[in-house]
Amino acid sequence: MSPAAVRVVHYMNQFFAGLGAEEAAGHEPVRLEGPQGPGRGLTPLGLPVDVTLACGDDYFAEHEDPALATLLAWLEEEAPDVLVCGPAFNSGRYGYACGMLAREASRRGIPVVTAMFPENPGVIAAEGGAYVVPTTANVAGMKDALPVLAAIGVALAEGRDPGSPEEAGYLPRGIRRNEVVDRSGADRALDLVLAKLRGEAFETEVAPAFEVVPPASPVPDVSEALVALVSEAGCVPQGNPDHLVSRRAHAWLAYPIDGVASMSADAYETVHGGFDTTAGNADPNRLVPLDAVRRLETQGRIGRLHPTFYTTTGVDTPVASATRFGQEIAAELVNAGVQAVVLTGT
Amino acid sequence: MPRPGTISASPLTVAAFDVRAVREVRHGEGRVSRTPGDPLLEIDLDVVESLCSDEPALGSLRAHVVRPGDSVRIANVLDAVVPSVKADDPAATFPGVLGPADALCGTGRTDRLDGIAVLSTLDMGALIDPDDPIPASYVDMDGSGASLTPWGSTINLVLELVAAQGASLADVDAAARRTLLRAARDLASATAEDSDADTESVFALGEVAGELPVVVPILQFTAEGPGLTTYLRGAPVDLVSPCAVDPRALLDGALTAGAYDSPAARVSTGTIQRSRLLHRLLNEHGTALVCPGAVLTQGYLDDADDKRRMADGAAHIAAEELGADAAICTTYSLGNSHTDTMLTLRACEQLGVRAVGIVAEEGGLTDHVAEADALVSTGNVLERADGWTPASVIGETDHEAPAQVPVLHYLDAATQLGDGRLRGVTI
Repeated sequence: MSPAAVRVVHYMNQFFAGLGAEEAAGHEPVRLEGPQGPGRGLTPLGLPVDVTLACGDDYFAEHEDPALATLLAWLEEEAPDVLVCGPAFNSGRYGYACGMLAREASRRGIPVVTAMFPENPGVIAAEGGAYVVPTTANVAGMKDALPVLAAIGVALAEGRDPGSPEEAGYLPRGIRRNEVVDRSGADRALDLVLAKLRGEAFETEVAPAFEVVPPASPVPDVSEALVALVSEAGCVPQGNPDHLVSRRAHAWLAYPIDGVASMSADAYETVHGGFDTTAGNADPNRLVPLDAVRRLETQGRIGRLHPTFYTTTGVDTPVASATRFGQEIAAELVNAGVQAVVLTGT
Repeated sequence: MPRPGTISASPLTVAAFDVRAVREVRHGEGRVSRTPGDPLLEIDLDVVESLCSDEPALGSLRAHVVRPGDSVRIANVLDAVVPSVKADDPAATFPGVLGPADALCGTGRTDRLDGIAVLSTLDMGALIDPDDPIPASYVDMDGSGASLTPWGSTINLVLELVAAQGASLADVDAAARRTLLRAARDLASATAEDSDADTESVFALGEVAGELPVVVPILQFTAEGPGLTTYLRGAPVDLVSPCAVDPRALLDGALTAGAYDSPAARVSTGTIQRSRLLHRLLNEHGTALVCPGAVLTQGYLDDADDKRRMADGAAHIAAEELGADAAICTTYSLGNSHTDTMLTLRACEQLGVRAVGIVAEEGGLTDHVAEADALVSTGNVLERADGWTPASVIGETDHEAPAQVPVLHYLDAATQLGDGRLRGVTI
């Protein structure tokens, strides 16, 4: 690789940038020319750093939005071929900053490689946006981490695929990428089934990677609680005025129900594309149980019904989109003081 | 009419004739012709286009021939069919749609053209539900998408169909399926005077002596009304309970497609005819394993009890009627039906039938049970192909394709019958 051919930016915290230890953890983001700290070790490995960005760990944790905005603006100006973050080892604040910056930079099309201890929360924060090289918990693993970091960084800077996690030495990012193999799915299925029958070792090609969501704590007193209705049943006002799609939803919608006693078939319908909607359209209360919750409200068994219901279509929706819908709706509910939700699924 | 589960002692012979070039002509008097021993096929497009003249539900038909490497995208693809004909009784081909429903199928001799397919296009989405458009369905003849679909590497006779004004979905769908299969049968009739096939395969399901494992395919299809249904001998696969079928009949045109959702994860008629899974099981019957039949089951069921009942029924037929030691469970479409697959895998394992599932991914699995410990991935349908812009598009469409088309939109790209070579891997 010609060093002049690619542009490399390296992010690190205040300590590794030489700005100071804990007393400098509140340091605002800075932009420094050339390699700093561990960045100097990347040059002999073929990855010379052009610009170093640094930020105090406390500053990033306490001012995440402005810190990210500053760092991302600098990245936009530098337009690097690769961004290197860390190594952060098992430093939670530093790792988180690396992960968040990595995630946001990758969303803007910048290839990112970082390094940290596998249990560091920064791995989750990166959301698969970065190639994460596993390290030891402390800085003693620096000399082992840098060559791997540099090799992946060089590949990314040159626009090459660094290879599989096993080959290149990074943590699986959880992204399912297609590869073309020599044998058809049918041939592989027959191999698998015969191996199973013979009692030989076999390996599935795809395993579940579902998030386990712990149940929320019980509401202390539902008779005092503000309760909201949320549904993925595709229930919308008649005529679907905001054009909620029937499947693969890209958005969720909110509609007022203040003063509405019941989801009448004259006023509401479902546009869901994943089930027979006949019964739901005959009585939309069976999709969004407004009639039942109003009765509970009248009886004083719940405190009050939130004046808005939230809706989307939950069919063929990518998990990442559904996760975002959930986070955004939950943020609104929390802001409104909602303490409990009746979430109807189909 | 033979019971679906009847296994005939007579073998099925499939005689394949290579087609390496096509010449289009328009003189309206001949049909297709192929000089014996010559891989050049001559197709009279006027004759092909006249096929819709007795189909009142179809407004028009334009025939095109496209070849691998052409800068052409075929849009709104409904189905792809391998041209084939029952050599001794052409009128019996594709029973229940063209031939009588009880016509012999899965035995006797079938002539088939290799290297060429017949595709139909029609904007069926607007008829199925204009407010819930089904995903666009493509076959690209060049660009990175061409290698994703098996129909990007065949010479294709494309029937560009337009529905008649005011015709119902059911009528248009039936007419489109009938016209496509007629064209495929008539094309294969070019072999009538040619006795020298390039390859000849004989599929027999005789008694097997000795201790070989019994392996059966449990094949999942759907029946959700016109446009969303697969047909067995012309009738919807709308099963009260799963049934055992002769796998040779499935290769021989008994099963035909009519479901147009999720192009990458549905199964075209041609993919059933060419099924690698069925060919492997039949070829190895008596040597490495015993395949006494296939189980046909239904997925995409709305009700949880229906799902449990269907899964349990499929496993019991495999175990008790066919004596299976192991089963390979295929999947139809995406989402809902993956729960049916998982329940079937669980039911099999609980009966002591070792089970393997074939599933496509949408960034990962849709559902999973602990018993599904051996799954084959047919690829992640959300991944996008490299950008490509065709010089021309065949197939009535108002929709502009994105520059990088997701795998989901390519016909049979991740078919869960297991014919493709895509596989999802974690990075």
